[in-house]
Amino acid sequence: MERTNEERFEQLFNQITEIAEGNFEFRYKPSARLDHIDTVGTHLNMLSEEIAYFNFESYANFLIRPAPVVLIFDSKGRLTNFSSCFWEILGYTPPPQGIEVSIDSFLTEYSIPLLTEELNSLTQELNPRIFPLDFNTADKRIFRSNCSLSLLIQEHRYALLIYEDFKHKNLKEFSGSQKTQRQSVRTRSARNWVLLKNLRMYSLRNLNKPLPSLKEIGLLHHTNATKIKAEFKKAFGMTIHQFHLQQRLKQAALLLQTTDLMVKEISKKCGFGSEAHFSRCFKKQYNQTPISYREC
Amino acid sequence: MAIDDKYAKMWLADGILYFVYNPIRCIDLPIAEEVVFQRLKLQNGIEYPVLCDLRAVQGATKDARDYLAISGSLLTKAQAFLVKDNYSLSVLNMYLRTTVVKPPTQIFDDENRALAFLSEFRRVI
Repeated sequence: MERTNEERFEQLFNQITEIAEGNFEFRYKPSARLDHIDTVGTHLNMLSEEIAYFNFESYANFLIRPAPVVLIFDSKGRLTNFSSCFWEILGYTPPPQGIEVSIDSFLTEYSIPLLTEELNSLTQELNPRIFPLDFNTADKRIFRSNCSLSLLIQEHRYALLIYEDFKHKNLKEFSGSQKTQRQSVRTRSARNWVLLKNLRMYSLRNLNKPLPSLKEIGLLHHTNATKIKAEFKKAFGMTIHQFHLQQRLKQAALLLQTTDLMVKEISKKCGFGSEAHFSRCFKKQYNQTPISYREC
Repeated sequence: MAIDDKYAKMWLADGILYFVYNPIRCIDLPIAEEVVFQRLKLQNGIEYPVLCDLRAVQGATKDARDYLAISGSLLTKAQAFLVKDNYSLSVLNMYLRTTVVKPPTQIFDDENRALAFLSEFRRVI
């Protein structure tokens, strides 16, 4: 049965909500009308796919949900009030009344200086800055959430607002390694993902020639060689030059299968300086020479 | 020479490769791979400007879009996509903005204008 416009709008709203909550699997099903509603629905589908493909977890994490948890603490970091669910969610027993508890005792080593830094730069802005904090759970896992700070009217009191639901999927195994934590926070940077996407596109748009050095790529993308090397490998499991080589070899393999072009021509089209170099790389990737690959 | 495949018809005329999709609700990766394979066989290593008629296509999966963005433009001098409505125009615009399509590419709803665009690239073959 044909859906009414109202039902179709409802589906769009549902999808927007799902995206806002970090679910990128929801898909709008276009009708046969292919009208404006379908256009928006298909754009949302493509948006979800683009986000899911690049694992833009950070984007999802930075979307704010109604604050479910509030912690109030003083200038020494002592908790003076809190949402009751805080303890339950992290798996602790609430402390007896009169016992002082420091907010630091729930934060990972990495998050303590982060919170201090945020406190030092706290302003009275209407739109507070959102920053991630890692909380230790009773069962030695980490709960990561986006938070913001507010200075309360009462002197030297602060409110830490924790925006996300405490869901099982948000719990990460406790590594105990400060380095790993630091890296994972870095991974969350949306800016990094935009850089990675640009680097990938740059590589794919230049399959007909060798890539320049990391330093030169860095200059083009306003970053440095070390960052490109590390971030690209972390995201794609290989260096940008390995990725570029792999893609060029895929194209070469397709041309070997579908054309009568000489191997030398194919190697040139795919950006290899010499046929010998191309053949060596091809054999390494496909365990056979370009000629034997073509004959198969 | 012409190819009349299950998913598309393609032929060469006046230095332009005409590529017309048959009615497809959603292009998936196997379909994308098949049509690219057939197109490259038809071209046999020569680059052409390509008129790609998408008027019978409703959509494509993410895998297929990514594959077409890279291998779909292999051996193409330029691409003119032919669409029939605002829906396709809008979706295709988003596709072109979010993928790696490299050769000069434009979208048209009029075949003559598309051919006029491609003819510029035909001369430099």
